[in-house]
Amino acid sequence: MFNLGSFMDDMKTLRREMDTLSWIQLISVIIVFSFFMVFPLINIITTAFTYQGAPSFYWFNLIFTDPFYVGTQIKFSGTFPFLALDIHSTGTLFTQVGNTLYIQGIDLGIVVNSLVVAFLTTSISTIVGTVLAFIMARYEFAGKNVFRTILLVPLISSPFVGAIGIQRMIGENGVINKLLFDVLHVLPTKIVLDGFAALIFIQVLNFYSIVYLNAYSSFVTIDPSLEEQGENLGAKGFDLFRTITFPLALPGVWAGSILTFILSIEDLGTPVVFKASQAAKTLTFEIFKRIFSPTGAIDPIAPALSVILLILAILGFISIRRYVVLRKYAIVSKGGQRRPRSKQATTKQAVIIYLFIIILLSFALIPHVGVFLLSITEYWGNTLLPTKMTLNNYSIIFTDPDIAGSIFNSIFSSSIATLIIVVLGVGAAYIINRKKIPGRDILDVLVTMPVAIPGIVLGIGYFIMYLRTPLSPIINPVPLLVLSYTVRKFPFTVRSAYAGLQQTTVEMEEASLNLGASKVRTFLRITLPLIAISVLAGSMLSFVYAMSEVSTSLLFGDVNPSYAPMTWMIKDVLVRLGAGPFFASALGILLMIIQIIILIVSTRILKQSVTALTGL
Amino acid sequence: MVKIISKDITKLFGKVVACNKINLDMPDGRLFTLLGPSGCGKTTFLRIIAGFENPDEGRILFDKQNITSLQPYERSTGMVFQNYALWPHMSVFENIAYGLKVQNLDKKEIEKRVDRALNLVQLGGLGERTPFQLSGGQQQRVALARALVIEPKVLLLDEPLSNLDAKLRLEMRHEIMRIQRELGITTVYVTHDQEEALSISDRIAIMKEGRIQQTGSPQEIYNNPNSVFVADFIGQSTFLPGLITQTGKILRIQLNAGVTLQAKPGIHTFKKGEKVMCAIRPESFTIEKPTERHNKLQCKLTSIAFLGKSNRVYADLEGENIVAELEPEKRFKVGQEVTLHVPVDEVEVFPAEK
Repeated sequence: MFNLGSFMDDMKTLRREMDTLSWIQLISVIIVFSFFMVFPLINIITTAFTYQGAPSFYWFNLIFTDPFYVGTQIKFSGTFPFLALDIHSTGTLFTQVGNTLYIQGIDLGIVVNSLVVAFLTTSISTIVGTVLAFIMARYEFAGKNVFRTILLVPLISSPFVGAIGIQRMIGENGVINKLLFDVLHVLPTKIVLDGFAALIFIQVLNFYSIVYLNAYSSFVTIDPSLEEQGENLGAKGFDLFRTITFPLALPGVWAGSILTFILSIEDLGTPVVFKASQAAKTLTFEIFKRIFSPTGAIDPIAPALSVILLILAILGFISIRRYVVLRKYAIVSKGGQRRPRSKQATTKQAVIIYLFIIILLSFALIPHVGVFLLSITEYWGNTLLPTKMTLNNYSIIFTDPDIAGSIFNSIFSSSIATLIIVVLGVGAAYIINRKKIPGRDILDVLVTMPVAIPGIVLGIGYFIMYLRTPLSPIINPVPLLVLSYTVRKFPFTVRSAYAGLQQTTVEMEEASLNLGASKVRTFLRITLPLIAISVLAGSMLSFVYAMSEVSTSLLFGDVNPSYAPMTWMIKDVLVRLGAGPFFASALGILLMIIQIIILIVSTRILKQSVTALTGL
Repeated sequence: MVKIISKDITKLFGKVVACNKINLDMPDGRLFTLLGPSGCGKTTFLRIIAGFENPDEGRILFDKQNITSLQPYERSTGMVFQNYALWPHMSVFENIAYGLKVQNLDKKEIEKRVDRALNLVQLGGLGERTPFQLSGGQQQRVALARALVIEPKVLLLDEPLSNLDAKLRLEMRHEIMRIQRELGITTVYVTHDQEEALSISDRIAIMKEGRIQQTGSPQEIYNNPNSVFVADFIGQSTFLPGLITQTGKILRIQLNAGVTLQAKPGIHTFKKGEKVMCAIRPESFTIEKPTERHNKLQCKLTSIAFLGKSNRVYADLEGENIVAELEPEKRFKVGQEVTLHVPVDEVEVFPAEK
């Protein structure tokens, strides 16, 4: 019911809380997010539910009855039990051909495939990440700090770049098989991961670190006295873990898992690299295939597929909304006075810990080693290591006008996007943290939601909405590219800015107002300088993640290659004959170096504030 | 300087009434203290004067000017925050100079006035330090200087001493008194420390649950509390419940403990048979002299604390606890029976609280 009284109260609050500056900040955030997130998504949804100009479930009906999309069909029948499962599947999990064992996966239709892959990736990442987090949080052992740093390595590559390296490492004649089968003879057969198995393998290697970081921060922030009380009452060992520790850490673990689920289901880069295999039969790649460059025409089924993808990701987001919304966000560094609960590992424990970590690390570093080896390859025949090595690839990526141009395009677009993010993000964080206005929860959800919006979906939305406008990507893809980066990488900065504001007491601003300074002056002279460091750190993260953005970059790059960013160029040169993969790898290494530098600097600034790193 | 008038100030936070129809006159040039337990609304009221909270009802006047709807920066109040709120990205000098820069004063004038403010708070020469290089007491002085340098109409102090250790607190208490008297600035001081309030204030208002309970000079408040709450909150008191058995110039009260007390009626009027609460200050008790005929309480000592100048004894009167301060010459033993006496005009009688 509309209540005039409370409406008038709201109006009064608005008038008192908001000044010119806040209005400008609020309205610009709303405009950008409306036109470049909300409206495009609405456009996708309405298109998906339209057939021949009328509202219809046609496309969804098509998808859910076609085994190509959904391999498991539920059939109604007249006899008991009235329902029957009609399973269409192709492919086999294991195939032995000669001395090679191929591990792939079973194709259950595109929609089901994506779900299964995301589910398995999430489950494995969660187990690995949680165990690792517990070890790192609760045991002391020699070399722990070195391991802690190396374990974060997966954060510095997108699965896209990693996939290129992995392809070379785990292929039939890859480094691993060469080493373990041909040279060391420790394997009875060559093992080749392909299709979904490869997809899951790559994703786990990239995403376990996200669960690890979130779980780790949960484990170390548990008030030690809670566990001590448990011990005091007689619980110990696994009982204590099961009844006290794990339930307390669950929110962090859950948040990390769901984020992994979302990242897995929206991953486009890995299927693109493995598109010759089963891995192409996933939602993201299918949608990607159905945008026809250079005209920008879209297969009418793509919006419906996008809606399905969007719903899956948003469901995940809703389940962790409590943890991702800014206002519930607690600073990890709070209450650092406590004595951490970690103990020296016994010899036996240490052996198990080393074994676990070393095995994990030897897997986790495969992509990076692979990309690095490829990047210095001139020719790689049937040998363990590159047959002929060179540093020439690196000079080529800076001299080839197309490739060098793409590096420039990436830096340019990412910088502009970061600039917009900073200006809008600081304003949004300020309003959400400091202004008691009605509807600020909505604003909060709006600016944190991009975490859950698959890039490919956003891209499709832009295509539908802007193809026939002056912003059309056909004319120049840069504006939409910049705006897609802006929306997608917004949460990193807004979170840091919000954390900065939380650490700065309101009295700092009130003291300024009290001395006669206007609200604008107070914001510029007091608030901004005090949160500058946090904003800087957050914006660096936004920048680096914009640089390594895959989905929208591939989408808009395809339309007009002369404006394409680095990630598109990696995809493009990868398939060139000859040295293509080597140039792509050199580009990948360059991207990683940029990421490493920025991540090191910004973690120093944010003092390992984990949540900022993962955008949660 | 101005006098501050609060008319019917009311402020709600959801369903919690932080300020309930507060009417106060805070006189020109005096130090006025708002005293009350935490959560009583005193800080909210101070923030309403500063303009950080908007009252739901009522008005704040500086002399005759209604400032209720003015922005904080239009009010010319100097506030010292509980946590000082010194800006870490500015030096001490810049912190103090901020309010003057806002007024676009010229550089020479700013320097002159900041130096004067630094000297006033005895921090001459420390202008180039950053706030976190200073001790708690020094930070407090910087906050004070920053508030005073703009020559505000009123000075607002929100629990300014609560972050200092006991010894510094005493020192700063005198420092604030000295500066306030020197400048003659109307000052509103918020604290929950009754001793601090009694020693520093010209006038005190006692707050409880958003309401003003009593206003008066420290002496009035201490000697003539108007309610059980005030008698309990200010200083220490022995509380004895009873019934009125005689009204008139002398009240007679039949205590639940069995004894009859005589008292002078204060501001309250009572009916026969009304339930009341008698409050007696520890120092009002004496060891009974044979000449006394009334107000003799025979009780048993339960514990004795030596305080140096006196003994604080705890005694039991038929199940009621009595706290008395007695001369140290007497030797007492726990378990000893004593008869305590209290003069008729030192028994305060209040209506019993429901």
